Amino acid sequence: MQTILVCDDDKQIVEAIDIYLTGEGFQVIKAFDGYEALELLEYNEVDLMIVDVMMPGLDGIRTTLKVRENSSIPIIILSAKSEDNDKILGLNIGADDYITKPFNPLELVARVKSHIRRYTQLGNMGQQNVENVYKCGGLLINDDNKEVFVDDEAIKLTPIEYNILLLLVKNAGKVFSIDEIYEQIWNEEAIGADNTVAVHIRHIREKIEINPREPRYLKVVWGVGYKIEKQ
Amino acid sequence: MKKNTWPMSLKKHFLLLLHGLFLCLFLAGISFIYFNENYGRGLSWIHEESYADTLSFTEQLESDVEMIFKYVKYKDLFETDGTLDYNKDMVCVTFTSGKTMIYTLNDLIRSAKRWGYYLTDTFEVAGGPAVHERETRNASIPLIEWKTYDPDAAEHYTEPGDAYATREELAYEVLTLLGEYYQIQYNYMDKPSNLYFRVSYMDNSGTEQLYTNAAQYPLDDLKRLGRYLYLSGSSIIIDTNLKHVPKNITSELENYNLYGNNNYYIILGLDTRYPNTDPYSIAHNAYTKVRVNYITGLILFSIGGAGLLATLLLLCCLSGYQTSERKAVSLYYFDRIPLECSIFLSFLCLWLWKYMASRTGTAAAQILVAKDHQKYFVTLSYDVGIYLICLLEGFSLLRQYKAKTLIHDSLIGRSTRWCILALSRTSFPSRMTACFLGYLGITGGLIFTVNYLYKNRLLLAVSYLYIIPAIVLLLFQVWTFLLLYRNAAETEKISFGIFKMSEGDTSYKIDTSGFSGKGANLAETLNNIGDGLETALQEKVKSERLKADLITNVSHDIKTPLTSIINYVDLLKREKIQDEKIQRYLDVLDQKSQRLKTLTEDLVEASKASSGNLKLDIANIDLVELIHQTNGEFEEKYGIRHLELVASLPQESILIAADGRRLWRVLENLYNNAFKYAMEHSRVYVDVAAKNGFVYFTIKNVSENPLNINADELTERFVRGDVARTTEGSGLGLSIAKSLTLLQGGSFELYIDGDLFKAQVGFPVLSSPHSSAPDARTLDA
Repeated sequence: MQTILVCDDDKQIVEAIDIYLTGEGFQVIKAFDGYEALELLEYNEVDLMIVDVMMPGLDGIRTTLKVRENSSIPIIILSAKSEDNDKILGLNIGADDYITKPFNPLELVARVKSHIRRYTQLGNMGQQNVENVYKCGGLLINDDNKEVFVDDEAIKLTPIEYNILLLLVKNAGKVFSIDEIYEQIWNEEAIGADNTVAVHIRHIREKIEINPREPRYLKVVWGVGYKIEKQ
Repeated sequence: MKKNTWPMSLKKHFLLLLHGLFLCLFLAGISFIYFNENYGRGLSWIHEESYADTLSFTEQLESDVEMIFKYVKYKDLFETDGTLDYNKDMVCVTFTSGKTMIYTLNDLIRSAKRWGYYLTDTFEVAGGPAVHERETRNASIPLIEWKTYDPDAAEHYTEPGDAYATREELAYEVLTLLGEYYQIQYNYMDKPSNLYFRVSYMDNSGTEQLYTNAAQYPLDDLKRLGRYLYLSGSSIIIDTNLKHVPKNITSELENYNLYGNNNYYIILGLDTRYPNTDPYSIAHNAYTKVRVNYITGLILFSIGGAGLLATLLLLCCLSGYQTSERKAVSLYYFDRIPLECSIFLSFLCLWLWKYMASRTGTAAAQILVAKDHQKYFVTLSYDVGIYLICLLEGFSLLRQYKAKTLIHDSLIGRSTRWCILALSRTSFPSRMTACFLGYLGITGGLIFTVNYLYKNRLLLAVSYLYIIPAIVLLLFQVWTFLLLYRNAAETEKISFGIFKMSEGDTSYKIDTSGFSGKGANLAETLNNIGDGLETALQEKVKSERLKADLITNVSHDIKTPLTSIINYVDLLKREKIQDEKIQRYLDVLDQKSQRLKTLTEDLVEASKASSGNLKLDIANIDLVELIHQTNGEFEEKYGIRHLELVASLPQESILIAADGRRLWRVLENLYNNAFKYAMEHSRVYVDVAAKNGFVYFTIKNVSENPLNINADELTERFVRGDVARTTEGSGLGLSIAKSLTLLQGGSFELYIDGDLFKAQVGFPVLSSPHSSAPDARTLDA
């Protein structure tokens, strides 16, 4: 049973998170400010930490920095600050994820699970580095048996979706325009390509992403194309 | 320092008194010098010259030399072995009867006495017979055979009468000679003299004839007496230490050369100690006295002059101050007279004084002083008067200067101030008119003067006089041009400043250095306006930012409780309460809390977008690709409300410079808008078309509810079609879309035609579609 440290000065939020996570079978330790969280981290085996930014005493950013000094456990920042700058700051100082309030409980649980899986299992799976196995963060494609895993969970894709994803993963970081994708997958010249590709991409996103509006893997580069974020 | 404790007025009066005293000393000095006979000879003579160097001494010496040679002559004539011999033969005459007579000295003296002649105590011949008693020339005038005192006389008789003389005439002649002999004997031999002489003639056999009053002195002693002169027959060079040599000495010496050879000499020695009373000592004493007088005059002149200057300077320093602090300047009543009047008055006084000096000065001087000194006295008092008037006027001006009222209270100062005051009260055009009239007047006057002087140049003393007003005219024109030029430059600068400010550069400042008058005022005012605008602009930007910050902070504070609401509503829903009423309530709670969530998020975004307070990541993006992507995102969603998306997009890509994410947000809002408000089972038309260098994206749909609202109001925050209020959404979608589009440099237009809703977003097309120049433009105003 994994232990999750939840740190927020708002007790009701901590309580609600406790309920959701406990319901999913996690053990939850509650802290109400940064110092308390650091103290609890010292005496408990913690697998993941959820921390608020705006807290009295030691705030979330400084708490994260402190934790990162000697620990590599996944840290999810949960904050009411939703500006890009805040997110970039949080991720830059060592947090693994950034969720804004008000949050979707299901999304939170999904992300917690995802991070824990990656931290505990994928981390020690090592580099299997078998041929025809493509990996990108928590996303894994085994081309031999046409299987796709996200955080070790099998995902079911249609053949076209699979091909698109495989193309993007193989060329992780490269941006493909709709026309390029069409030509590669359908092996036809794209004459006035319609929404087909875009719709397929959307479907893939809905399947592999926890929050399709804020994708972790399959990103939309608006006005240019699509890409898999290199990780 | 004792002086400093004196009261100021006492100090000044004392100084004035001193000044007067020094003036008297000065004048006395001048008088001493002026009346000295050495006036006009400079100063060097005082220490360089003694009496023996003067011309009067030389004159005296010349007459003495003459006397000496007379003595040389008479000594042989009247003396035998050094004493007067009355039995010496003087004249030989032959009477018409044939009788020849030789008269001795005695004979002649006696006949002179008989005729009534005698010698005065200065050895002049005086007396004489009455005219009628004289012998008639024709009666018995004897022919002169020879004269011992005039051996060559016979050769000089050129006229027949010359060779004849009466006894009376002969006696008179000899008596005169004897007088002269006595005179020399008395002056140089009997009386002790300061002048020593020795004349020596030597014949070829070596017999010396010596004439001297200093037989006891050897030759060298005579040279040591002080001044001497030695002339020998064997040399033409005179051995002397005299400044001026008597002109007659060489000729006289040669004239009396007895033996016709060169064995003779003369030596003159003057005892410059002047131990004996004689003409030399008297003249020397007089000369010394004159010199002392002159030196006294010089000293008085110097002391007086120095004192005058010193007291004048001190008075200049102290003038006008009543206390020793030298702060307040007090003026006398006549110091209040304006500068010009005071100068005029001074000149009037000077003229009056001159008039008086010329008219009554001489008359007054005749009462007071001797005739010789009258002219000097008049000149002196005239000059002193001028000095006093100038002193008075000068100190008056000085006091005014110290009180800083010199120019201020002068007529020019007053009238200038009056003119400026009068001009400043009138309007600018009338000032302009006045200036122009003044310009015309001055130019016209100068041209007239030049013309007049040029035409009459031959009549004038200085024929080129017209050049002066011509130069003034030229300078005046140049000055006027410079003024106009400066004015034009100022206007140029000011209009440039106005142009800059109207362009929006409110921080632009006109450089007012070198500006003057109205231009300076104008520029200053404009700068102030610029400052005001700048401040207002900054205030606005600041307040917009404050507002955005406030909204952001408030939204953060709202989000935390909202999180709990949403979470606990969700938890409640999970309880699967069977009661339908509760289910319904929970749905409302869920719906409203979600709406509150959207509202707070949109509020932050709207405020940031409208205040421009966000960072844009501008890159070259393909609008067609973006529309495809957007269509892909929305196609299924539109299916929920049975909306058909009809897209009409060009084949080729169209590049624009925009922030892809923000533009997606714009499109998302527009698509969502259509999704929410379009009539079910209707079509939504989307098309992209390039036109005139711009690419326009248009989305059209038919509204479900009547659009009883102005198109502009739709983009106003919180404004929506009334009926739609109950549905989800914040009402900020279109506002955010518009703000974001404008921020990226695009255009955003809404059209409402009946139930037809149409939104159009336009962007300039990038000319070269393949050049990707990602420039990160930061709009962080």
